[in-house]
Amino acid sequence: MIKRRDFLKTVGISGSAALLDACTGENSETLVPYLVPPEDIVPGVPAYYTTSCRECPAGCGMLAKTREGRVIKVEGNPRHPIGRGKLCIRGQASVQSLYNPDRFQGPQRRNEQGGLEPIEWDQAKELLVSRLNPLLSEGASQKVAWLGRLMTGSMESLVRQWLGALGSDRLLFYETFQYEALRRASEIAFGRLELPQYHLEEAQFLLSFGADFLETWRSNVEFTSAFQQMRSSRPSNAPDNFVYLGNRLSLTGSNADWWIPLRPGTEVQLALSIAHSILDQGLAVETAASQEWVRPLLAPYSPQSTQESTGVEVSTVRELARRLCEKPPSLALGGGISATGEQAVPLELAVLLLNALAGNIGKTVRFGTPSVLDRLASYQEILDLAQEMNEDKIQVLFLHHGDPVFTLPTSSGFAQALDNVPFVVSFSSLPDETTAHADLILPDHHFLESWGDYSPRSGVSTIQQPAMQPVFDTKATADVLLSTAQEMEELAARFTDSTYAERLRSHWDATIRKTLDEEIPWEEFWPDVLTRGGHFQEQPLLEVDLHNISEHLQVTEETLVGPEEGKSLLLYPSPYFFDGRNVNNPWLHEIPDPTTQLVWDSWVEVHPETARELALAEGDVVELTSPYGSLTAPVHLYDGLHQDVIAMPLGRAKSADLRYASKEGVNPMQLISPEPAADSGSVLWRSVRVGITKTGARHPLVSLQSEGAERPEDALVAIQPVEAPDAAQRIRPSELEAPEAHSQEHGPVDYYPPHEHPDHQWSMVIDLDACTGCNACAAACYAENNVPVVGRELCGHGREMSWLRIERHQKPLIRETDVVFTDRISLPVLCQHCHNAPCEPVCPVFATYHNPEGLNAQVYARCVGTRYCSNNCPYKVRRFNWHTFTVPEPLQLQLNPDVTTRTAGVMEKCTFCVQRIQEGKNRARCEDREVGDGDVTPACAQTCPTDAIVFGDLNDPVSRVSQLAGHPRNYHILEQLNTRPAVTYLKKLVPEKPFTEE
Amino acid sequence: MSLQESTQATQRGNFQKVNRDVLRALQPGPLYFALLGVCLIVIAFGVWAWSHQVLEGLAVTGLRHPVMWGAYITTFVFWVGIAHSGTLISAILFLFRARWRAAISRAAEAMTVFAVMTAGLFPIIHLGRPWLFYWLLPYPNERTLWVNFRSPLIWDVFAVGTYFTVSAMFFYVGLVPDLAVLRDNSTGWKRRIFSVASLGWLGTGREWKHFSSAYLFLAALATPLVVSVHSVVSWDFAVAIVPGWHSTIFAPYFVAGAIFSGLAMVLTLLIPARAILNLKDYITLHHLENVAKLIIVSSLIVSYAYLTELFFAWYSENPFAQTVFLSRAVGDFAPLFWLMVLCNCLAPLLFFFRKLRRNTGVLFAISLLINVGMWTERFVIISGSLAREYARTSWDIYSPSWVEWSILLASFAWFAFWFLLFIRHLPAIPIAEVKESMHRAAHDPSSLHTEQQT
Repeated sequence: MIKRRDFLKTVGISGSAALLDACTGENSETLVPYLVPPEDIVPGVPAYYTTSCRECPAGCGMLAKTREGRVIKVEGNPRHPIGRGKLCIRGQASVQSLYNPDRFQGPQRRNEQGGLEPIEWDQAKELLVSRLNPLLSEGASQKVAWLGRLMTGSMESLVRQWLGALGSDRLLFYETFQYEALRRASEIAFGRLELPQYHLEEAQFLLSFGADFLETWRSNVEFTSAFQQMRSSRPSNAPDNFVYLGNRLSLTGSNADWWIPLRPGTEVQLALSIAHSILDQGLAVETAASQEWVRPLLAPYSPQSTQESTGVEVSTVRELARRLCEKPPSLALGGGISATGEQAVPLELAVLLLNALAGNIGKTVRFGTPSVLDRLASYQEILDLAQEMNEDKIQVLFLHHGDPVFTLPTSSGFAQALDNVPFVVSFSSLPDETTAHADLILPDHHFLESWGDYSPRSGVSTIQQPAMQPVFDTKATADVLLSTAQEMEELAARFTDSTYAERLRSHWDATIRKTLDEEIPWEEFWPDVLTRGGHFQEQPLLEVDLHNISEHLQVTEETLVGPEEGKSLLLYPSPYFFDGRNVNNPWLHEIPDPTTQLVWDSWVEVHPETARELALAEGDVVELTSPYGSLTAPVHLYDGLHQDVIAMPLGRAKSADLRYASKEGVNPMQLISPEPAADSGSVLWRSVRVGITKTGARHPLVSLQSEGAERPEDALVAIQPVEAPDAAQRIRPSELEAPEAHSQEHGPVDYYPPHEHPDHQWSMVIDLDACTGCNACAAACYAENNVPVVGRELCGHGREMSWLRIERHQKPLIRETDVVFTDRISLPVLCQHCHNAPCEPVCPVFATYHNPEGLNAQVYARCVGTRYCSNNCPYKVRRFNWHTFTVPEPLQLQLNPDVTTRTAGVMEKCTFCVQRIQEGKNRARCEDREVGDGDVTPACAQTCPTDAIVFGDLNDPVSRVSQLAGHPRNYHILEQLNTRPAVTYLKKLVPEKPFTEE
Repeated sequence: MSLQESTQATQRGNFQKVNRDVLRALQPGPLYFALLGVCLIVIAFGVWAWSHQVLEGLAVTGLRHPVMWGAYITTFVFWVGIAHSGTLISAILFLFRARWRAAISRAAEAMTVFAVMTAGLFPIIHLGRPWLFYWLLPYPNERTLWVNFRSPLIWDVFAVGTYFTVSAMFFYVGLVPDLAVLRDNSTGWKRRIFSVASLGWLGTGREWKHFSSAYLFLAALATPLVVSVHSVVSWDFAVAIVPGWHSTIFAPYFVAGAIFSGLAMVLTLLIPARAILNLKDYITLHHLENVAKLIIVSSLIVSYAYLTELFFAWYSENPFAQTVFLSRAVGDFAPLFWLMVLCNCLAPLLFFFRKLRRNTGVLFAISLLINVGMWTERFVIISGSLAREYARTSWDIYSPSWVEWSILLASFAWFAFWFLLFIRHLPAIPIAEVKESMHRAAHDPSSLHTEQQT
C-alpha cells in the first residue's frame, strides 16, 4: 500500500529528475536542486527566445516559448519584418521536428556491411580528420565540396573559410524550389539578376500565373499577410480582385475569385495576348508602351489569334487587360512550380512586361532588395557538381540539410554520383534518401537548439538563439567545423574561436554594429538584437528601366516527352511538407490537406472526367509511367484540374524508415525529365506526359470531411453563407441575441434567464473573407492544447481529435465558360461556446457547464463519458478520447504543462485557450490593471497570418471583438437553433456579377 | 355422490394435476443444462469483450465521431422495451380483468424483471469511464456535487430504477402463494428457503384477501409506470436537438413500440417453453392467439408513428429533418429502414388471418422477426439520426464492431440465463391464478366465454 505522502514524494522526485534531464540532456544522477538557479528558468513561467524559423528558406522571425528548459511552442516574432508575429503551419509544427523520435540520436558511421552504426563524437571527428588530412598534405584543390541549405552571415563565412582552408570554394546552396527563371527574366528585362520584391499589399488587382504564394512560393507568411491587406481594402460591391491562371486549383487558386483553367503550355501566349490587349485598349503606361520594340513583339499575339490555343476567349482577355490597368498599381505574378517548363523564362518575361505596361514597376514590383534565394545554386550547377563527382574529382562531399537524392529528378543520377564520392559526410538530423548514401553522419542541432544567423533578404538579419539544450547527442555543425579544424595542425591557427557562438558575436560586431551610422556600444547593441530577434533596416528602392526583351521572348511549342495519350504531369510542393523535409511530422499528416481534405497519404489527383474515361474510382491504385520511371499511387478525384493534367504533391511520402511518413507513391521525381532548362538551367518541373494504368489494387484515402452523394443542398446552405453583404444587412449590437425570426414570431424564446457575465464575456469573430484555409491555426491548436495524434487508421474510423477544423466548402466547379467561379469558403469550426449550449443540460454529471466568463467549460476529471454532449452538439466540435493516446519519446517533451492531458473515456474540445485567459488575467493583476484588449490571444488567433480570427471581451465596448461582432457581414452558424454562439462569423464577399459583362 | 361432490372431486383432482404439472416442469432434463452451459459460455465471452473495451478504450467499438451512441444504447432501449409487456400483461390486463392472462403472467413478469436487469447494464457498459458510473446517482458527498437534474440521463436513472423496484415487488408478491406450494412440496434446505420466501403463507381467507388487495394495488402502481418509463427513455432522444430525435411523438411512439416488442418477446419465450416444459394445457393456443391480437394493435400504432414521423419531416420543411428521413428511406440506412418496415409493419399483418395466428410455427417466426425489427428500429433512430446531423461535413456511417455484437449476444445469454434459472426454480405458471380461473370456469361457464371475448 502506498501512502499519499509517499506517492507525492516519489512524484516530486521523479518529476524534478525528469525536469533536470530535460534541461541538461544528460542523466542526472544526483538530485540536487539549482544552487544558483538560472536566471531565465523560473518554474511555471515561460521564457521566450527570439530565433529564426528554418523550416523553409523564407526565414520568418520566431519566438520559442520554453518552460522549465524545454521548448513547448513556437510563435511568430511580432518585431520581425518577415512574418510579423505569424507563422505558417510548417513553422508551427517545427517543434515536432525538434522532438522527432526518428532523429539521428548521435553520430553514425557506415560500416563494412553497408549499414549505419552509432559511434562517439570523438571517433567521428577522428574519422573526419583522417579523411581531410591527406587532402591537405597533397595540397589538393577543389577536392572538397559542400552542398547544403542556405546560409548567410557568420555561418556562411565560417563554412567558406573552412572550405578555403581545405583548398576549395565549392559551396553550393541547394533548395528544391528555385526561382532561376524569374531571376534570369529580371536580368533580361531590367538588368538586375535578382528576384523582384512584390508588394501585394499595394496592389488593387492581382493576377497569378500559377504562383502559389499563400502556400509554398517564396515567403508564404509574408505574402499571406500582404494578400489580406490587399483583400481587406477592396470595395464590397466589386470584390473580385484576384484571378488565378493555372492548370490546378491550389489553395492559393481557391482563394482567388476567378480561376482560368489554362491548358498547360499556353501561359506565355495568354500573358502576351493580355499585353497585346492592354496596348490595344490604350491602357498602357506611356514609358513602357512608347518603347518601339513593344508593339512588334506583341503583334502576333492578339487575343483572337491566341484564343484557339489557350482556350481563353477574347472578351476575357480584354477584361483581364482592363482590370490590370484600371486602378494602378496592380500586380501580375509569374509562374510557380506548376508553370515551370521549357517556357519558364519567356513566361516570366511576359509577366514582367505586363507589370511594366500596367505601371507596376517600382510600386508593386521593386528591385534593389536581393533575396537569399538569389544565391541558390541552379540545377545546372548541381548537375555540374554531379559530373565532377562522377569524374572522381570530389574526394569529400559535405551535405548540410536538404535531401537532394529525393528532391532532384531521380534520373539525373545524383544518387549514383554520390556513391562515386569516396567520403560523403552528412549533417542531416533526420534519416532520408540522401543519408542512405552517406558514409558519416554528424547530426546537426535543430535550429531551436543552436546559435545561428540568417538573412532572408538584404536588410533583414535574423539572430537564431538556442532555446534549449539539445534533445539528442547532436552537435552544431559550426562547432563541429571549428573543433575539427582545431584538431588539424595546419588549420588550428586559422580557427581561433573556441565556439561558434563567440564567432557569431564577433561577426555581428564587425559586419553590423561597426557599419551602423551611429555608434552603439556592444553592451547595448547585442541585447537589443537578441530581444528584437535581429537587426532590420529599410532598403532603398532601386530605379530600373525596361530593356528590350523581344530577342529573348521566343515563344515555342512546349514539348512534353511521354506517351501521346498520357496526361501532362504537374508536381506541386505539398503545402504542409514543402519538399518532404518534415515528412515525419505527425501533426502535418493529421491536419487535412487544405485542397483535398485528405490525411496521412500521398496520392495522384485525377480530373473526374479523366477518371471516367479510364474507369478509375477514388482510392484505385494506378501506375504512372513516364519515359524516366514509374510509380504507383492511389487516385484522388479532383475537379480543380485542367483535364489534360494529373497532379501529384511532392513530399508526402518517403522511403526512408520514418514512422510517420507514408510509403505510398513514394517519389514523383522519378517521373520527370533530368534535363535542365536550356535558358535558365532549372529543373523542368513540367516536362513529361505520363501514362496511367489501373493496377487493380485499392488504397482507400482517408478524408476527414465527408462528401456524401445523398446530400441535399439545403443542409449545406445553413452553414455556408454565400451571400453578398448587401443581401443581408443585419447590424446587430454586439450582445449575442436570439435569432430575430424567433423572437418576432414567438416573443421571448428562452425558458431560462440569460447567463450573467459580470466580468468578462469572451468571444471570437472569424472573418471568412480573410481566412485562406491555410490551417496554421489548427497546428497551433495541436501544439498549445496537447491534442493527440491518432494516426491514419483511427482517422479513417472517425476518431480524429482536432479541436479546430477548417471545413472546405466548394461546390463542384462549373466549366461552362473559360472563367470559373472558385466559390470556395474555408470555414474554421471550433467550439462555439454557445450561450444556450445544447451540450450543457444533457450532461448528467455537470462535466460541462457555462462559466461566468461565457466559456463553455469542460471538466475532464468529472466526465464519465456518456457522450451525450457530443450527440447534442450541432457543430460536432467535441472530441472523445477513444484510447489513452500517447506519443513516443521524446515528443512528450513538447506537451504544454499548462494544459491537462486527457485519458481514455473523456470528452474534450476547444477551451478558447482557457490557460491563456488565465495567464492574461494573472499578468494584468500582477501589473495592477484591468485586463485589456489583446491581453488574451488564443493560439489559433495568435498565428493566423491574415488575422481572420479575433478574440476578446464582449463586455469591453472598445475591444476589437466587440466592434467586429456588430459588423454588417456577421452571422452565426446554425443560428436558427438559437444556440447563440460566442463565435461570430463574417461572411465572405463574393462577386455577384459574371467576370465579363460583354 | 352428488353432482356437486363429483365436480368438486374432479376439481380437486384437476387442482392436483395442476400442482403436479407445474412442479414437474421444475425437474429439468439434460437439454436444460446444455442451454444453461451455453448461456454461461456466451456471458463469459461478453464479459471478456467488455473488459477488453474497458482496458483499451471505446476505440474497440465501432462508435465514431459523430455517432457516439450505437449498439449499446440501442440494446438498452430494446431491453427496456421488452420489459414493458410483462407489466402490461400482468398489471394492465389484470386491471382490465382479462382472465386469459393468468397462464402467461408469471413468465411475463419474470421477463420484465430480467429484461430491466439486462437493460440496466448497458448504460454502464456504454460509459467512457464505467468505473465512475455511481456519479450518475444522486448520493450525498462531501463535495456537495449533485447530478444534473436537467439531464434526461438522470431521469433515466430514476425511471428505470423505479420501474425495476416496482416490477420486482409485483413479481414477488404474485409469487408468494406459489412459493408456499413449493415449500409444501420440498424438503431440506430448499424448504427452509421457500419457508422464508413465502413469508409464512398459509392460504387462509384473510391472507388471500390481503394478497388480492396488495396485488391490485401494485398492479395499479405498475400501470402508469408502463407509460412513464418508456416515455422517459424516449425523452433521452426527444429532448435532444438531433434531427430525427427531436419530436413530440416520441413518448407514445416508444411506449407502443415497447409493448409491441415485449409481446413479441413473450411469444418467443413461451412457445418453446410450453413445448419443452409440457405446459400446453395451461398456456393454450387461445392465450397465444390473444397475444397475437395485441401485437396487431401495437404494430398498427407503431406503423402509424412511422408515417407520422415521415409526414412531419416533409410537412415541417425542415431541411435537416428531411435529410435524416431521406437517408433512412433511400440513403445509407435504407436497407435497415426497410427491414424494419418489413418486420414491424408488414409481417404482423399476417396475424389478421386466424389460421396463421393459431399456428405456433408462424407465431414464433413472426415474433422473432419483430424482435429483430424492433432492435433495428432503435438502431435506425439512434445511429441513423446521429450519422446525419446538422454538420454535414462530419457525417459518417457506423456499424457495430465484434465487441458490441459479442456484448449484445451476451445480453441475450444473460437474460436467458436468468430465465432458465427462473423456470427451474420457480413455477413458470401462477398456480393459484390458474386454479382460480379453472374454478371460475367450472362454476360459471360464461366467464370462459367472456374471457375469449376479451
